[in-house]
Amino acid sequence: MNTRTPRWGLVTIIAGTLLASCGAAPAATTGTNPVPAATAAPAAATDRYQVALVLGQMSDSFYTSMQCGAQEAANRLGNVDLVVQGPAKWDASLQTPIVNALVASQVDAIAIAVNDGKALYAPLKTANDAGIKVIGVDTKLEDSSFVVTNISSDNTALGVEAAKTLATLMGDKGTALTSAVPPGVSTVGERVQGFLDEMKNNHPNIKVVYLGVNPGDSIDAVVAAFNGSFTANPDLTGVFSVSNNESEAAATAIRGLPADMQQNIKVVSFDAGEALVEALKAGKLQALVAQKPAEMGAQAVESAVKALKGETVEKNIPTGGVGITADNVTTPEFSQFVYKSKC
Amino acid sequence: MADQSQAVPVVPARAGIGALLRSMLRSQAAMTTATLLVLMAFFTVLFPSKFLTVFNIQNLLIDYSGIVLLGVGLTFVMTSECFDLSIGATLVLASVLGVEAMVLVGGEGWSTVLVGLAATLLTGAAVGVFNGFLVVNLRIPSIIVTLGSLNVAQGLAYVLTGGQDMHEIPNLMVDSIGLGRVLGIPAPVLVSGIAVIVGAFVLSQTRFGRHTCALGSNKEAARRAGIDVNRLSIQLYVLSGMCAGLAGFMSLARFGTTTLSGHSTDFITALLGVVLGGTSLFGGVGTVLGTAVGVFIPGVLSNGLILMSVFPYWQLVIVGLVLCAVVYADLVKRRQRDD
Repeated sequence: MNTRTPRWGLVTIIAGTLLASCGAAPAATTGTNPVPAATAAPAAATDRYQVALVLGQMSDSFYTSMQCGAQEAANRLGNVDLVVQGPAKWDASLQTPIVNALVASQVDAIAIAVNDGKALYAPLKTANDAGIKVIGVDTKLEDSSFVVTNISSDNTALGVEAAKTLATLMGDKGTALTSAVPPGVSTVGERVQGFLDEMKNNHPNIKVVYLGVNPGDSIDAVVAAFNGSFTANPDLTGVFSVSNNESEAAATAIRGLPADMQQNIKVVSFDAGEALVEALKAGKLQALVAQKPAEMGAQAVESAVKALKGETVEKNIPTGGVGITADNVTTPEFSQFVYKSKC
Repeated sequence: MADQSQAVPVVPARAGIGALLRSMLRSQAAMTTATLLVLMAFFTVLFPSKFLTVFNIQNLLIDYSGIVLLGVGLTFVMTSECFDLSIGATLVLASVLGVEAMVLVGGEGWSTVLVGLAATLLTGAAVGVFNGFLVVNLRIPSIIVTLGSLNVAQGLAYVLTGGQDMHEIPNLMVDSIGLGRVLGIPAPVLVSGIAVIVGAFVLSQTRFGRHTCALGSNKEAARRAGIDVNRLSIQLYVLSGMCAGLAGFMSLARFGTTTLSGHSTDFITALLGVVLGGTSLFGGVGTVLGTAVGVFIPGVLSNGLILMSVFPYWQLVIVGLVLCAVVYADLVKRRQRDD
């Protein structure tokens, strides 16, 4: 998160200049870029590069935002022909033929959010053996030794951002509620751990209690657990929700509370799809921690070009998160991080 | 089954409230109720100002009202020696089609809500007919059929919504039903309460109920006794499906969204309540009142463990152990009685 703060100026400038041309996908890619060369200025090379971006799923606002970011970067670089593909739903058996077709069409690079860390290994290895540069974006292959780079959210950083945002909303005191680290789901686990560490280290006046549910519990049980927690902790004013189900359950449980208690409870959730932003504006949630899919898309295109030029690229490129609240969602510097359903 | 007369009293239909009450006292529901009361007493002593409060008890009743509805239907199906694994998915599909229907007719008033109710019930009934047809006509074991329809219903719900939860639910429905009260009783509790009373009456006091027990006890004997077992099986699946449909409607009213991925373990939760309540896993014995009480044993236990601030992973361990203990105690008591 340290890298985020000094970048705001740059974000605003770049976003401002781009707002007029296309739907204002965040072009702020330089901040966390470990090799800041050749990003903003159009490349002088005469070579044109065919770069394919394979999304995890079509018509999903997270991936649409990624597409927008990639398109921005391609336009900015000027020497990239971007092809965007993706399966209709999250399914490795639908994504594999797409990769095979791209290999057949001899693109120069494939950036892909794999639907399955194992199933996509063989087709992508084939692509790599055919001389195509492969880049992991958002999700990654289990064995990604041949991949140029993996660009994905730093989930611990997202959890830290959530803790900071919630602590601010809670006035740095009271009791906050979180799920326990869910066994087996590493992304969510890292977020919860980041949240717990940040609370422990930097917000000692906030007591953290655990939501008594387990993964796979039905939503009725999750609501019951929220209600139990509200009963057990009368000073509970913060809720850290790690899933859509939990957010819905929290909203339902809070609706059933007396009005004076309702107002005091602040809920932070992940991702910034349109439904969640609507919930934010309606006051069902008080903050969202958005990932930066547009930045991922832009980084993917830039990394592809660098690799094709023979420049070195970091093996892992983490992207951060940004806390969106009802107050700041109307300002351009934050609203740019709301996921888009079209560019 | 030796103890059939305990759980399902052989009394003439419409024998009156007195017989119903007497049978209740002798039934397994009494054992389950005693267990529940012990648990509640324990947590009341431990947290006098928190556990036994209107706020907490009311929340518990509301939060498990949906599972109770599913449990009522499941009790009937299981009494007939069948399973219905599809109830959670049926709930989801019904709620999706309920929203679709309400969007189709438009409006925010009671007529729209009624259309939604009709759509959810019809969806449940349709899944029930599908299940019943496959079980009866194609003679596929019910556990396989309903595992199949579970996937079909969940899959259709995803197809219809594109995997995104739908929120187009009239505010009236959330405010008046989900959060509403009738005579001070929360509407979800009232709805499941009525379902339990009607279900208990039908299963223990009517010909339909006795035929259901007979079917689960010995299918061949039931057939020879002149019961149309095929028709009855289909009716039972339709009943279970409609309970799931109604639960889907109530879920919409409570959550204000379709909760697509929130019900995958509903079957297990409901099954637990049904079995704890005293309905046999092997058919022939069933008690709706027992189910209604049984659902709250894990519910109250989880609630109490949250009040005790037990770490969630440990809660699973404790709930699991207590459930085994409850069933074992019940078994011991039944063996003593049978000897």
